Amino acid sequence: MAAALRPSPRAGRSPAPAGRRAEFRAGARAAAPLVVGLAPFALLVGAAVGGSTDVLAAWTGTLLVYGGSAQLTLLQMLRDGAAAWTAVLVTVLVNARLAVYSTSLAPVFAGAPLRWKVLAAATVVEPTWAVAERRAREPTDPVGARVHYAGAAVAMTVGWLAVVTVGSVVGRVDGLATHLAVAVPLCLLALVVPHVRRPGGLAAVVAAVVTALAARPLLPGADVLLAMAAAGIAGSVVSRRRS
Amino acid sequence: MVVWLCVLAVGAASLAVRLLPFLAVERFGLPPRMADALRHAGTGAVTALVVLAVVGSGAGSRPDPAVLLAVGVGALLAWRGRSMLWVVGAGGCAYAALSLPLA
Repeated sequence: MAAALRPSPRAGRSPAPAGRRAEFRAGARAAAPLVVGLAPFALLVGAAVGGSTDVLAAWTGTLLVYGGSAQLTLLQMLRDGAAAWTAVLVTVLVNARLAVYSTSLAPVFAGAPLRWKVLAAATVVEPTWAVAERRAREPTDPVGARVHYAGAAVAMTVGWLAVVTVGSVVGRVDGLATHLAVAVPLCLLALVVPHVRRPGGLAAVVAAVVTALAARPLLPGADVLLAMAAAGIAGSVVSRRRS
Repeated sequence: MVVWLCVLAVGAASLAVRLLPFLAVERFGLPPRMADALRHAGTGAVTALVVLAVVGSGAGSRPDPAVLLAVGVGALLAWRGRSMLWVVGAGGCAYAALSLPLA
């Protein structure tokens, strides 16, 4: 544990206000293409919100659940008449993968006040984690990295909430969502491909693809978690051998 | 009322699941090897979401050729270092070029 990542001596020092604003704007700019790319998925979630028996509660879930796939799962299960406790349990399991992103992001927030950690935990999802992960590769002070993350989280929250609201009003337009949904894998693909160039990155991506394909018919629902585990193991083993 | 209760319960549990690692790493630190494995794991989850979006999440579903073409074009551009807007734009055009004539 001696080499464990700890907050640096500069952890409590804030950059100048102008630098903070620039970091915040840079984070928001980095998240903007993700908001656009994930908009079709937000429309689908919005359509589910609009179809709920309690639209206000379902819409509030956009902020409280803070995960499109989890929110969609919850609303669909409730609509299909599943028991409330079952819907809650399954939805929490869908969101459980986000604990890995939190753990990965935690060193950036080590030494930060609790309110920063709560805000980071409440907003960590694939896109915000990807922005933070990309930023972490650049030399920076922890406070700058946190402000950068905050910019990404605010942009993602505002953009996502706006599109979900639009989706809840206009509802599902036949065929449109199916065609627009192609933007979702493209958007995620742009996050994955740069990782391939990192040590162990190719092994991680190949392991995830193979595991997801193999698990899909055998263990539907666990495919993402299994792919996550396989990528973590394969990537770290290969990068350790190379180093 | 049921929807409210479910949303509040999931929100609280999800926040706890996400907040605990922040507090645990603050307390115990994070070994570099573990940090490396977590980065790969995070990318693995995103990769799995791409795969499931392409092949479909149902057991009997088959990939749409237009989506396959779009993802192929997008992957090539991403590999060549193009921005996300390029990847989504060019991939979307490839999808439209193949799917709209078939519709």
